[in-house]
Amino acid sequence: MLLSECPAGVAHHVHQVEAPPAHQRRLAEMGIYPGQNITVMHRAPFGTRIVVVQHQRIALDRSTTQHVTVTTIGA
Amino acid sequence: MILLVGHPNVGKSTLFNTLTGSRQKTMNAPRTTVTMETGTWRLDDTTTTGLVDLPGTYSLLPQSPDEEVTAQEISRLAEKSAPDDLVIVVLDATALASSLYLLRQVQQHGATIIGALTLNDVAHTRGSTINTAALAHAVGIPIVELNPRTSHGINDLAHAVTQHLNAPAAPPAQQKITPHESSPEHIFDWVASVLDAAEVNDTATTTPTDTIDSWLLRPWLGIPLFFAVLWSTFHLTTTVAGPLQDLAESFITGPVTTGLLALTSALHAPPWVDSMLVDGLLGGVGTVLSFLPLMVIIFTLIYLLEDSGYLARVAVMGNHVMQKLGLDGRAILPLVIGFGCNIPALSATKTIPDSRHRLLTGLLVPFSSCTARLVIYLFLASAFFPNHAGTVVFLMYLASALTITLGALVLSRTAFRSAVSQPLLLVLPAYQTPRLTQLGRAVFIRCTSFITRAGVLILSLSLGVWVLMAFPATSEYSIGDPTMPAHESLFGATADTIAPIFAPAGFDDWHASAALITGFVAKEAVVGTFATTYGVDEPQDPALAGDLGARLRATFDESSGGHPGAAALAFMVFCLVYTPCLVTVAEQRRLFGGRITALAAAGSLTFAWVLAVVVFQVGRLL
Repeated sequence: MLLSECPAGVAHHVHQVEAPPAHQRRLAEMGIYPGQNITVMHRAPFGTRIVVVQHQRIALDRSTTQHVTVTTIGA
Repeated sequence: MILLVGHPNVGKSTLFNTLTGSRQKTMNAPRTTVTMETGTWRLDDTTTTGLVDLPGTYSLLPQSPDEEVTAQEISRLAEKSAPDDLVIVVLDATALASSLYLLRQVQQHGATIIGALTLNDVAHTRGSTINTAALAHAVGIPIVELNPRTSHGINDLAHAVTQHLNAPAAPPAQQKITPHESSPEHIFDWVASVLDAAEVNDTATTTPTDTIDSWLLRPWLGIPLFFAVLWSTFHLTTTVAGPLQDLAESFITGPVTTGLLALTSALHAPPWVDSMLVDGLLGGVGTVLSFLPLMVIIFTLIYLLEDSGYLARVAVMGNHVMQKLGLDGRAILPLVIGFGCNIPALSATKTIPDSRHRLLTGLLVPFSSCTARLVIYLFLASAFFPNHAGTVVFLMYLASALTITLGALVLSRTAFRSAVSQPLLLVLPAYQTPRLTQLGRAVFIRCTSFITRAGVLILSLSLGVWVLMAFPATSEYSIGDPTMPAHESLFGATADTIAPIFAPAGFDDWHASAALITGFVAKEAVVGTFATTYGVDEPQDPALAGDLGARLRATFDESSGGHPGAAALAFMVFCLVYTPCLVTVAEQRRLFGGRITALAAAGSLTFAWVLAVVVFQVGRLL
């Protein structure tokens, strides 16, 4: 499932991050890389999502959330 | 030398202000527009040390010029490996994992580190318990818990630093770090082991900030509120600041001028001294002073937006529109404020973290049509288009928005290509109640910087204009002679000289070029200059152009070869695009340096001339 389609409040695993290398690196530095937990906290205007990764609230826009795939934890 | 490093929005600047007080200054990193704050920290009665506040960053693998400066300064310090040198890494307790990530990178550079754990109170409210001693033990460095907003723990930090300075440990040996060891995954494994060893207990719960955001980031509430914040900011910098500005100015033109004139007459000073002191010196001082209330208001607003945490939400909301123009989401604030006044708008670019975006926005702000320019539009529209004045004024605002858009699109695709549109990736700080003491200190520091750094240039330009106005071009009059007609002064001669430049735009007349010269000083002066040069009373209401309008129409009719309307439009467009006033020049120079300011002024004059010529040449065909 794409992160952009994720319901709010449910924890997921990051499965894959597809982004230009520099952006992918920065996402990893914020803790967004395969295997990590991620939860959508708020669905903000214009497709922006506020996600929780390692307890921090991070705002990501649609261009990012549409390129991160996640899997349900336990599936 | 001590470097202060940490994430953006963790209270690093507040900590820096608390540690250095007003013993600080802003400097540019070599060959960049990136600014660093440097200051002196008085550790105790006898010991002081130099302190540098580096741009906030999440990582030492830089992705912007500002982050690059931070990474370079840390490398430089580590390579020097002087025993007194130290890096204080500010750790955010609410984002401990990524804070430790940054700390680990600094450690891998081989720098000696003291950790400063902030926001532990906020982390505590959401159920995290961090044992500072256990954390320090797990990382292997001293870590001090502190709150820069209340100054709690500041003495502990000073104590830890003093201890290091008194018994400097040998800096850790520089090790070769393999790409694997510096990979995010590897560092996060280390972070996890540290969090484990320190028994950091983090039961993630919903925080008060989450509850607030669940309302403020909701489209139907968040967007109207966002516009309400923009609207109030605009009004505070225009309708509220206006009367205060007038008050400050009338203080200078009233009692101060009277007092000074009494003094010079007691000393039997020649008339030109009076003229220089009143028109040159006090004119400049009055300008600086009249902007002071406005600067206090804007610096207070900026501080409240930053410190409360709402600015990060502005970045999120503004991102969607601004990104299309290649700008940072936060750029919406200065561009909106600019329609009130460009000077606080330029100051508000400080809220943009990436120096390239800051500069790009700073170059676009002058195209926001400020209220001073509205007076020119009202006057010319009523003089030349009495039946369509409203439409013409509206078109000028449309032209302003289009110029900003066009400027953004062109610049972000050329000179600023490297800065353009990184996707939004922003850590949202927790909401906090701003503290009055810290607010007062930050506003005081910024206002002092404005007065000292912009004030000098304003004063010298003001004296330069006085020389033009007061010195006669012929020997018929003496310096500062009040009976000298404007045309006989150096100013009139200059206006005559440059007038032919505007022939292709249809207004090659000295009255027009004279108004443009004073318009460079302040757009408020344009209509007044027309009145002076024609020797006619200035209309009380600019929308009723009257006799002055008729005189100007006759002039433009002649200079444009029978197309006065097209020439008037071209003149208005020129006024919209060229340098707004000398205070904006001074503020641009304070923020971006002299070279860029000179280039920007030359660029906007050229751009304004080209647009004016296009408007006139197209207009006269219609």
